[in-house]
Amino acid sequence: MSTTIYNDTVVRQFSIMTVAWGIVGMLVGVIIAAQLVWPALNFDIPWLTYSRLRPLHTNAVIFAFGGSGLMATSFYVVQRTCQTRLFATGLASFVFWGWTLVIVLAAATLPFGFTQGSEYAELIWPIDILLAIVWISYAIVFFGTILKRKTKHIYVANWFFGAFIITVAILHIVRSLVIPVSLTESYPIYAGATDAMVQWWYGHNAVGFFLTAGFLGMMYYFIPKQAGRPVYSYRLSIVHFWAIISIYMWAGPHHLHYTALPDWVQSVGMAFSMILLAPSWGGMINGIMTLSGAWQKLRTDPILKFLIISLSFYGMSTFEGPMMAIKSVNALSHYTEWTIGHVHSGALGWVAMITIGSLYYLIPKLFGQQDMYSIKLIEIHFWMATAGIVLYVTSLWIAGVMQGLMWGAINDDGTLTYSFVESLLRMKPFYLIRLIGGMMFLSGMFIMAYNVFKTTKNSKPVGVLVPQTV
Amino acid sequence: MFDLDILRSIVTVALFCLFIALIAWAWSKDRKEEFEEAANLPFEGNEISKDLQGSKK
Repeated sequence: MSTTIYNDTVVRQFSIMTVAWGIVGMLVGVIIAAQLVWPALNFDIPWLTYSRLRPLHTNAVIFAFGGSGLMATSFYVVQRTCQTRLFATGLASFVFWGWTLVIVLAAATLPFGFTQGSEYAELIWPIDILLAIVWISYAIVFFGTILKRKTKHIYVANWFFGAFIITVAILHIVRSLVIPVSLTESYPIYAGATDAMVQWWYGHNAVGFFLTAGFLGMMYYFIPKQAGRPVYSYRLSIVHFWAIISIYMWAGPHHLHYTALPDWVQSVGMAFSMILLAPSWGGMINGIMTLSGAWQKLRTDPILKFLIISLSFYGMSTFEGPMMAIKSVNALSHYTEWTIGHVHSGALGWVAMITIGSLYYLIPKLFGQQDMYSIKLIEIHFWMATAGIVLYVTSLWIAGVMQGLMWGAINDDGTLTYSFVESLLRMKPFYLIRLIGGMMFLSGMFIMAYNVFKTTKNSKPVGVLVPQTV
Repeated sequence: MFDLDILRSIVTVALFCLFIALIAWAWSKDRKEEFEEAANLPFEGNEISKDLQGSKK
């Protein structure tokens, strides 16, 4: 037993792939952003059209980049805080190769038009089944490790990772229930407004549990570690956990305001979305206040900057979200670029920034180094990413509000003041600014890839011993 | 018997009471020490290989 070491192989694999998938997914995003400015960029090739590449972009950034980052960090954190080796080494390896195969299959089907047509659940049914098997294996490895833990308490980060793993399994399986008619075609078992409700129950909880709970798990481990002090309030973290997982589940209907969905369901969705502000901000304050008394570290430590600014963006988008869920605000914002701006303030600002910060902490340790190859390059990456997001989000705010106002403008005789094309033409400068912001964020990822390459080159990863005494 | 709306109200009030109980549980003095220990879990154990421990770059 004295030679037990942590299973860091799978963590290393997922960490490196997170950077790689991040570049792929964001590159596709930049391409489609450029197509919005210059539509001819699809060259009239079907698999280069916006409609085919957009689901590839969302799947690549959410599931390939975000998913790999979550698997890397959850496997790392659960071993360290349970002080035991990862359960089932072979199965953990299967999770990595299975997940990678799902991503490759997604890239091999979505551009060619094989899709189920549900947003964020586009993959066709054979891939869905593989994904379910991989995800359940992930759950077995994670909870198997929790079960054989040497510590008495289950650390709060693992609660968040655990909720994320269980809920995503349920969401994926319920949303993907279809009747196949051929290898690539199928029909959902739900119809009409029910299908729409299942879709946004899935879609919003993918935001709540995949893009929030999982990354809060990261936050509760890597911010205390990088700041060198325990989380501000452990008690608040417990209330934060139970409040957020019980409220998120009901917020989905705000995606379907003013549709065929029953009115009372829309109101329930709106009410729960607004209540969500409380646990979201509770968690954000808990993370930021962890730095209380050590604020000066922010001046010199770019990794901490990444982690803390991610919480600032988290606070901004979790204020914006409840506001946009109010029906009268939604009447202006829905179907406009504002929604896209909101999503990217969360996805780039919160999800990507906390992942990048965690990886900068993780990668040197995984490859037997003290620090990343260049701290200066982390600093440059930080400012490029931050400036990129600011350009991206503010341009789409302006574009979205303008769109909403133009679409809703009515002449005295009741006719529309503007045609759709008139509003579209006004978008061009803002689409260009958005493209520049996206390109800056992507350039930051290339800097990161170079830094990671230099850090891991010639390094000899050494197994880390699991401590024997608790 | 209860009609559905009364049942819904009961569930809502029960959940609210559960939330209050959760806060009381989390902030009770009995758990102070346990939670302080738990908050320090990330700081126990080694995170880098033995070769590097103690070596200053």
